[in-house]
Amino acid sequence: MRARYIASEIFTGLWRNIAMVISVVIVTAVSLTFVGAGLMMQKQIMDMKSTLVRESQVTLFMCSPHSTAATCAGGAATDAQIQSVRDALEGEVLSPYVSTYSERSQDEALAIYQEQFAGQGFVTDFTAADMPVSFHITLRDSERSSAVVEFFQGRDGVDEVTDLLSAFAPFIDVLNQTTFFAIGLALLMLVAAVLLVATTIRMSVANRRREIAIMRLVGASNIFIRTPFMLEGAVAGILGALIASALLWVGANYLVEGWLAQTLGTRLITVGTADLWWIAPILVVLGAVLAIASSIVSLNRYLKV
Amino acid sequence: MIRFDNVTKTYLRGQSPALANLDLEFARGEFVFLVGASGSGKSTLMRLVLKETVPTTGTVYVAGKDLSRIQSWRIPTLRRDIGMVFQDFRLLPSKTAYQNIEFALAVIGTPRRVVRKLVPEMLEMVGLEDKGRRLPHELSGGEQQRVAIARAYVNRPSILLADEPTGNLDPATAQGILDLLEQINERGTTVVMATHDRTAVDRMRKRVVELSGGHVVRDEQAGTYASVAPGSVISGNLEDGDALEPGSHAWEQAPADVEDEALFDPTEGDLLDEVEQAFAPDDDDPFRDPVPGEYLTEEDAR
Repeated sequence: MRARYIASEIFTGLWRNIAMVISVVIVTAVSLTFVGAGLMMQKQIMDMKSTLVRESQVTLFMCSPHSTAATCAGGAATDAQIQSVRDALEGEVLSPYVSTYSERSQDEALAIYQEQFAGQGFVTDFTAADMPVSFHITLRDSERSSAVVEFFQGRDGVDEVTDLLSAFAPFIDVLNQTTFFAIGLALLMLVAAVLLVATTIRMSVANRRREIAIMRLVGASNIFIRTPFMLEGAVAGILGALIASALLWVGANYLVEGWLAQTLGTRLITVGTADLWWIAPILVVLGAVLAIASSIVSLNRYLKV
Repeated sequence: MIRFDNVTKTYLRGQSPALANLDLEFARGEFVFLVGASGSGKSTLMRLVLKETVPTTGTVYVAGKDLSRIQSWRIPTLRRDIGMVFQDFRLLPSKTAYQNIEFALAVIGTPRRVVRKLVPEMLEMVGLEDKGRRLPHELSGGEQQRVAIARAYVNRPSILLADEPTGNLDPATAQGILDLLEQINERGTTVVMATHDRTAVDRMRKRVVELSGGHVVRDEQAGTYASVAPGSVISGNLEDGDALEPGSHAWEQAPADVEDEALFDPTEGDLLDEVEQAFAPDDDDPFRDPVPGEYLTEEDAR
């Protein structure tokens, strides 16, 4: 094979159809941007879920002297109440749900409180007695948190039971819905991209019908005749994928890392520009495969063997 | 070299065949003129040799190989051993003479080192060593045909098929082309030339095969265009159709000429048709590239 000959054929082909090629590149770029964004969002969801699972998903705060909940009418939780929660957590009823739990004493709570609000004047006003005892519970199955929440909710001495996963559920839901939307748009655009590639190849074949006729007459192999067309599509697809990667980088850098992560904290927002190291290759391969596949289909239709 | 063994080719079921029970052999190194009216089967014969179409019955052998046993992916290899020359040259209008010849080598993967050696040799052989950088429209008809012959021969094929190569040329220029074909023949290539050029056939005194209605009606060594042979239609010894019952001729029912075959048999890929269509003038486009041979150049007119 003559690499230089094929390269010049590809370039000529691309140049002759420059308007079509640009549209192929743009459509591919936009659709692959959606695909990449969808991948990023799914990764974010998985990261978030695993973070929530790793950390205690259910937090149980016992009453402190300052609690206002109805169950705390008796003031701070008594030792007996705390012990009954301990017993319940280790008991038969909850054992199918609870994996592990840890208890945070009033002293530990104070230390964390002081650390969080270090430098503020009011910190020194509080003592350990003002702090609530809390239990941090890791569940066996994060999806079944409601059983534990309901078990403790409304008990005397229990101030509040928070379910981290259900607190984040709306956010995860939004991300999931957005992913569906993005993938849906991506599919629609990819259909357009595939059809555009097919049309471009068809025009390219028509433009070079004389060359093709002579090639077949003098005995050029089918692969030799087809390779320039297929690579022409692949070049357009890969260009689109690279542009999509650049767009995603801009989004990840300014939108996610520059704004979202600043607002919500890097503990929660784990995706960023670093993820493009694995997303970009996927997009490039996807763009190339789609373009080559639609080239092959249209070559079979428009180029006789 | 080329052998037709009881070959019949019918393009459309129920129509009379374009070639009927043809038994014909061209020996290695032979120079053969194919004569006969349009539709007599000359083009079909060439198509069969290129395996562009397959016989309805019978067997075609090229270089000792049974073409029906050649796999489709091996067809390019077969065609590399066959050069083809057309009446209207069919050069690529955007490529120079040099590039047109180079193209035929490049697309079959010839290394550049070899191409650089072969193309100038070819240009010299056809007497255009100083015109390699000209585009086809800057060359006369005769010169364009020389480039086309160089393109067909650059790969040193053992067979050269020429379909009325002098049809668009004046007699003097045509003679130059014939000399070139003879020279190629003397180097060992089998040349089969379909022609209506009486002068050429009479001067060369080579084997003449006359086809009529898909049958060989005359096969003479050192023959002439017209002949006293009783079956010869073009010599007027036999009226068209006298030899056969009326209505049985290929040109009466079958495709009037090769252009129509695609219509009659759309399932069959036809290389020669495709080449022809590719080079056909596109009348809708006033700015199209000129097709070689479409217009007579001033030199031709003289």
